[in-house]
Amino acid sequence: MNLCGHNTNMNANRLLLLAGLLLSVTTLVQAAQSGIMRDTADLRAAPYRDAKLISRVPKQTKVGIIRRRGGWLKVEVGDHGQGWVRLNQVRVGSNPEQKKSSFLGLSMLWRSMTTGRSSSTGLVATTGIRGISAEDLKGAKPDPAALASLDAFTTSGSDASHHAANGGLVPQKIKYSEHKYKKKKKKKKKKKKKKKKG
Amino acid sequence: MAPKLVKTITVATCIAVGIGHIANTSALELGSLLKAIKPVSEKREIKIGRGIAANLLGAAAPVDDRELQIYVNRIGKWIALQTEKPHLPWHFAILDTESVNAFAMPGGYVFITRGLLLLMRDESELAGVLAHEISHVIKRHALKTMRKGEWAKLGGQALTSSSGQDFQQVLNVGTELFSRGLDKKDEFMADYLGATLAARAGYDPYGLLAVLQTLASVNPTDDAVALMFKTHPSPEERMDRLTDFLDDKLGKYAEQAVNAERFARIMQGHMKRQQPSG
Repeated sequence: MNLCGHNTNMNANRLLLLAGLLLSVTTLVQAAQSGIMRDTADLRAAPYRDAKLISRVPKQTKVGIIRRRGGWLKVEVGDHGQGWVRLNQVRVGSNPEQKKSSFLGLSMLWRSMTTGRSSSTGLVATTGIRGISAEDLKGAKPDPAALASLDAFTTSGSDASHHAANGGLVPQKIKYSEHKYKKKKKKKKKKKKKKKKG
Repeated sequence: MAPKLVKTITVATCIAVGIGHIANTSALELGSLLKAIKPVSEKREIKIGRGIAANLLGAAAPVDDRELQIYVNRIGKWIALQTEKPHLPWHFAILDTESVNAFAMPGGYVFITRGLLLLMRDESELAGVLAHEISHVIKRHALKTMRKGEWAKLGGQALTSSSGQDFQQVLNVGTELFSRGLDKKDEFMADYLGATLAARAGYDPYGLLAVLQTLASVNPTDDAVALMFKTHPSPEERMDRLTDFLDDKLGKYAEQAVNAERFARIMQGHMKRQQPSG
């Protein structure tokens, strides 16, 4: 672990945190996100499968994430410019695979904020954090007072509906549907077809 | 003649019991099966859920932020209203822990950790996770798992027993379920149902996929995600399947609300309130 690097990051995070709290968390979260291509993928001019192909972006290319629209991400890719790739083709974060971070977006800021509360060194420990492990669950003693305290936060159907309407949410009638995952089979079939054609 | 008679009796038994696949079961096994399939009443389901929720709250307390908790309850309740069980006593809460996880308890208790909340970017992502957990509740996945296999010995029959000792056993088994995980098939199903419920509630159903994308980006060796990764199929596999489902079934709802601004405003308020003074 590069301690100096972490300290520099911490300072940067603190500045970002202050800026974020003063300005807007939205801007902050989205500006802070970079990504890496999981696979070689098509960069398209619009978020549609049949949109104009700009170029092929190789696996492991670093990208800047601009925004998400449904299952697509608008990204900035160095020489390739801006375009859209499928959401599942991008990994969030800028570290190489072996050094993937667990603190992304607001989580990173929160970490720097709360580390400041308990530590003056500004070091980020990635192990031994406070959390719920299997052992914690086994040893947990019931907390009926905490359970009762949750009643104060519940809300009525009309309050929830009002909040939804304020957020521009329009309910839709959609049936549940079964789904059989057969992506792999499809790929095989395609390959076979190609072979026959060839 | 004799085989025919046996066949007739077997068929009659099947009809009487109402399930066809136990035709070859012995009388003794049939007896225990009958006990095991005695349905858990909704009243009992809620009582079990409350007990498990109390246990879980013993491991991690609710975050001390009324505004944040009410926000999560408003969204959760709105999604629950889109299900066939809007009447359940729905309770939603953010737990004060850095672990990245979410929990569903029978009867309508749903908890999300702050560690997971902080990885989200907009309200459609929060809605997606809540809807995934709500789907587990609606489909009674926890109770189903407690009846199956080795769990049946521990909690299956105790589920409907009236003894206090049995009830305590059920709560222990139910809490331990969070360390063991549900059936993988049920996790995929909750992804599909959850995305559907989010779309019903007016959200972009790809929000859940965006959360899975983030989870697939997290370092799996980190303590914060250890329990969740152990108890769920890999986020990559869930992401591939859910992408397939969404493109096939819900693609036209991709333009629905994500409410990034409202989510950011709430998170900003939360972080301000929780910021260390001085």
